[in-house]
Amino acid sequence: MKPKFLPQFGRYAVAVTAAVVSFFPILWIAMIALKERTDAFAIPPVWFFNPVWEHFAKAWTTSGFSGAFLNSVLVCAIGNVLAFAIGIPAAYLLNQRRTPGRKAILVWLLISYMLPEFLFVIPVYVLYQAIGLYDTVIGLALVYQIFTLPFTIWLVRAFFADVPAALAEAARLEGATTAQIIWKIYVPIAAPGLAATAILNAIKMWNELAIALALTFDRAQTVTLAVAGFRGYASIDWGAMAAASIIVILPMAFFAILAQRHIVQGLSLGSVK
Amino acid sequence: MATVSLRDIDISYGATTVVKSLNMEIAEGEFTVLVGPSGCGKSTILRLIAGLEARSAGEVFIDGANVSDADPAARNVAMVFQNYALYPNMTVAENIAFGMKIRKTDPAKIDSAVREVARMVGLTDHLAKRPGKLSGGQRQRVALARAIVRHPKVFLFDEPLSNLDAEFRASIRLELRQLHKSLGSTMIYVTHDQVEAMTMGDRIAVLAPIAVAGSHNLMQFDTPDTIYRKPANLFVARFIGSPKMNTFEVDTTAGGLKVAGREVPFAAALPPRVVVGIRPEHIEVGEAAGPSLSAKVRVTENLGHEYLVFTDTALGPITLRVSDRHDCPRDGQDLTLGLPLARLHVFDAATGERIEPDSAR
Ligand SMILES: Nc1ncnc2c1ncn2[C@@H]1O[C@H](COP(=O)(O)OP(=O)(O)OP(=O)(O)O)[C@@H](O)[C@H]1O
Ligand SMILES: [Mg+2]
Repeated sequence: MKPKFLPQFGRYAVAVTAAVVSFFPILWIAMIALKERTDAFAIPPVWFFNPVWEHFAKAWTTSGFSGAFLNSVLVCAIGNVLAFAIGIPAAYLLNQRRTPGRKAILVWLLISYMLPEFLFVIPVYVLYQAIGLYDTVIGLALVYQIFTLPFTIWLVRAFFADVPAALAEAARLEGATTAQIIWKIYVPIAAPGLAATAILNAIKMWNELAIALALTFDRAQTVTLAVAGFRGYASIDWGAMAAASIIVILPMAFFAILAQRHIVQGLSLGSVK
Repeated sequence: MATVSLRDIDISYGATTVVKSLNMEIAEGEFTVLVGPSGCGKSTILRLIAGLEARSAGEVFIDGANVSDADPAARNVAMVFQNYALYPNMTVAENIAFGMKIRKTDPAKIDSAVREVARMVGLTDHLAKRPGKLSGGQRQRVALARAIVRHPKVFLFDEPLSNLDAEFRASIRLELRQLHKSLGSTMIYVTHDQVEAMTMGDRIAVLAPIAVAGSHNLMQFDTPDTIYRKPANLFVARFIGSPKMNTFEVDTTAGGLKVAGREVPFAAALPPRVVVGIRPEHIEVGEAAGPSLSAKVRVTENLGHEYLVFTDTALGPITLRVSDRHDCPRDGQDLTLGLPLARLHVFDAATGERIEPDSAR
């Protein structure tokens, strides 16, 4: 028993340290959001206090914030729908040995996944100004779809690869078309994996700042911009900004916890295979 | 019901040839078994007939129509896969109905067809379950039902029993035979189990890997009886039968074979060296109407209804089966083995081809 104890203890120590380090900033922000303004920056820090909720109410009613929240929801949803509409068939075909140019496309996907996303922003900005997509939810969702697509294809491909090829063959013998094989067999079987992919995509789009900053101005502003907006010209409303940050973190944290098992499985694909 | 013809089929993957010069004519309603060691191309041939595998040369005919380039769906063949390939996201009923739904069959018709087939294979109580909740044998039945419901021209089976335990296999084997009788369909069945091959096939196609056989895979295509009694070559002789046929290489003389120092008359044009074969069940303890040799028992195995006796002789190790009506020979005992002349198989040592005595021609 004894020799086992130390390594086990060590593992827990590392895990707990990592958790504390990554949760501390969130905890700190939550505390700022819940404290009176006078307590927020007191030194030494005030650890025990009566929580106040006024910052949350203020953040939510601040002009533009709830609208930005809705914009972000729409952008994540539309971006995901577009990414999956292209990513699912692409992933299926890239798994078929018969598909021509398959290797080259896979390498290209990996390269484009590694390119900095901000790279397309300047030409797209010019283009969007010209065709009227600047500062629109659709315009932003289109760009997000482009930068989530390689990742989507890569993950969905790994989930599809787990579906036995004999299923597709059996369906083909029964007269199913490739589209029917994808939507009636592969998608339902890989559904948990697809859901995990969608959540990872959503987190990425939800938290994106640079592209949103470049391609939106006001109407299509997203939550990350809205949070930054609490930094006024003269002063920063720390309480409302912290409360807004917490509001922004919550939905994605909720999804992440919900789909945790599938996300871990999804992320460890590729490495295990 | 349909005939199936394979004409001059070649299949290669890159530089590796898997199937070469394959010719087979399968009659309407015939139960054909493809048997051979692992890697000899059995699954590949089955998939070729289904349209799932591309060929390098040759043509495939179903019912006289050239389907070589036809889509799998257009061939109207049903395949039962080794791992069943059931759709895990659908219930048993949905699995059976999938093809009909794709073809937009009237829902009332689908329902009655599913029920009828489920009754045939004994799945009526399981229609609402997912495949994951079924036993191996039940999954097997779902796969079967999915094939039957389509009324295909040809049924293709790829080692459908290999995932089942031995007892269950024997009973499903019987059911499949009965199914074949009642449907009267053409069925092609792949196995590497020679008991399955012998018991199920109207005809058996014995296949060898190209690496072993050289110019073509099909070693013999005939009834189980002929395959057993008159194996066309050494490969078939050694592959069918358990324990394996005893074989030993001997010289020939002008009028026959030289076996254990004795001349055995054999009226045929013989090459200088031949391989003589005799099945373990045909060797007699004591003298027989043919050559005899002395043997020393190395070890015996008691199978209850018979003994397997492994001996060493001047011709090498020889295995024989002794019925339990005799006493089991003791280890180390000296025996005289009689090799009945009528039971000897003779093969050309150079080519491995069977040589028939002139009288039998
Ligand atoms: N896609 C492929 N690419 C390359 N070689 C292949 C491919 N599919 C099959 N082979 C090779 O073709 C040969 C025949 O395969 P096949 O599956 O038909 O054998 P089999 O007789 O069904 O064997 P088993 O009894 O193991 O199922 C094997 O040597 C296999 O390695
Ligand atoms: Mg096989």
